[in-house]
Amino acid sequence: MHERLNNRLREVRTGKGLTQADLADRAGVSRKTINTVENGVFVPSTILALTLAKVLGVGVEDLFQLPDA
Amino acid sequence: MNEVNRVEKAERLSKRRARIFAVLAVMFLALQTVYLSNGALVEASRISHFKIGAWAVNALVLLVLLATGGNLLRGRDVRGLLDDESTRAHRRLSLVWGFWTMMAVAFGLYILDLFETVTTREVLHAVITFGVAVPLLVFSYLERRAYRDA
Repeated sequence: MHERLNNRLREVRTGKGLTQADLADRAGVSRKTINTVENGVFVPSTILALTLAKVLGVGVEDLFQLPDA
Repeated sequence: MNEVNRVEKAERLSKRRARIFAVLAVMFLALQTVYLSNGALVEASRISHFKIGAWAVNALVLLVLLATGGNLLRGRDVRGLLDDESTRAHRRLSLVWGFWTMMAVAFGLYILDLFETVTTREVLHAVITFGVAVPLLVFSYLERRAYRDA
């Protein structure tokens, strides 16, 4: 069972020209949540992962991957 | 309210809440010297009852703040951001810390009771005091840490 996720959230977000606050607002969460996900401190729920992927217009696996995937 | 302003407002309130929680927890712990130094926990005087009542109200208010996150009078959208997924995770973790702290204090007092008489009120006072203060401190720490490297 993995405890961590690799993520490309910061990379994808900045690629779309969005600030953390922009993404936070579109996903309906605080900027703190976006920051902790990007820094790997917080593993998001499935719902939030899917929401972030939807907001950014990418697949969820483009944002998050298991470490050995 | 402008959408990003809403996020910024929630962030400002969230940071302020983290600072306030830490200050309240430290003040709550510091106030316990009143109870430890002058025997308010074992006396049966009216003033002791008042002090104990004040402590109980203080502890209850802090517990409500921890459970709700405060800011109850804010709009639903801002409150939603103030109690989002990472905040709830921080609260859960802080409550876990509170539980283990209470266990540690209870075991410590159980052992202390072998050597020195400890009243029920003293035990409850210590367990509740640390059970309230430690989660507040942990929550505050986690919330402030969440804004690092932003």
